[in-house]
Amino acid sequence: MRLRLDVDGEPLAPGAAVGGRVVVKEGGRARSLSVRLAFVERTESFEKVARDAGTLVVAEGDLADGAVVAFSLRLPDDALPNIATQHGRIGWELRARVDRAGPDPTVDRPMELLRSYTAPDRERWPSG
Amino acid sequence: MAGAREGHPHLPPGREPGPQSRRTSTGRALGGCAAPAFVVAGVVAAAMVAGFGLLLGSLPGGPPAWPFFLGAVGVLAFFWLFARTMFRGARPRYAAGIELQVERQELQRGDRVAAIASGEGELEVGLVCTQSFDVWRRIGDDSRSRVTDTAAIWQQWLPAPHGALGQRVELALPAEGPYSYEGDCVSVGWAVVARRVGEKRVAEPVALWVAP
Repeated sequence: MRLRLDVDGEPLAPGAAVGGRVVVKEGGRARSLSVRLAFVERTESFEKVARDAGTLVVAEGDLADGAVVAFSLRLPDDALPNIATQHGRIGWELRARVDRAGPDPTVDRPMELLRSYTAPDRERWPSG
Repeated sequence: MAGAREGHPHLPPGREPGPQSRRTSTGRALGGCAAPAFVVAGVVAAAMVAGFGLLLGSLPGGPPAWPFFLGAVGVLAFFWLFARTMFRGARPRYAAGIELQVERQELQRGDRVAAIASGEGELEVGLVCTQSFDVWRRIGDDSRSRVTDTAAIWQQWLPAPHGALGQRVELALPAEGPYSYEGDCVSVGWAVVARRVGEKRVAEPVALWVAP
């Protein structure tokens, strides 16, 4: 099972709708597909959800190859901007998760917010 | 104004520490308390080594005692160095003879912060943003420990050449720079610092809280 998350309209402002699509690159048996929007702290060793802004079940049942599932969530009005350096990142992320028998495949997608800070020497963390 | 929250020098008064800062503060306190215990343990261990040497040396045909005395000194030095490292970890050392004051400690990104530095010598005043981040550190082949590392992620320094008279400088917070954050495995803190030109050690920093 392989997924990709696409987001429209980045960089986003606090309170903005987060619209996009989950693209199922490689499908399979599944109970459901959900998308979560959260503010996440990350270092090379640790990951912690500091604020969960909502989870949406966007599809139920098996997922076909090439399926595209739209979703829409909303950033909180007081959403903090992102900070990304070579040592770690705090920022908003989407996570698509397939609920199925066995380990659940997930894919994370950092989001770009207005007035975020990215250190110029940052190498390790993806943009956003 | 140059206050800090008790036990958390990176936070202005009234600001609550996050889980990571609380863990780090507890670790520092335990390290500081353990230092005297290591000194005592070193003295006891050195006395045991020296005593063992004396005992063996008093036996007929026993070995000379001086290698044991040398060993006792080595044991004492080892424990003392360990205790000193723990003690210094708990109490950072700052440059003496420099005073630093800021007009306010609660700011927003893009604000200007005025600081007055006074002290002998040629001074410079800096605005420094530090990130704390948790990582696993390997201890031996099959053990690891969660540690909090820190790194400066943004800094700006301005000269204050007339420090003897108390020089006022104005520093600018970047409008789209990092902001203060207290988290579980990542935290971000801001401070105004001062040092003598050419020296690494800074005077006691003044913590700021920078809102987004």
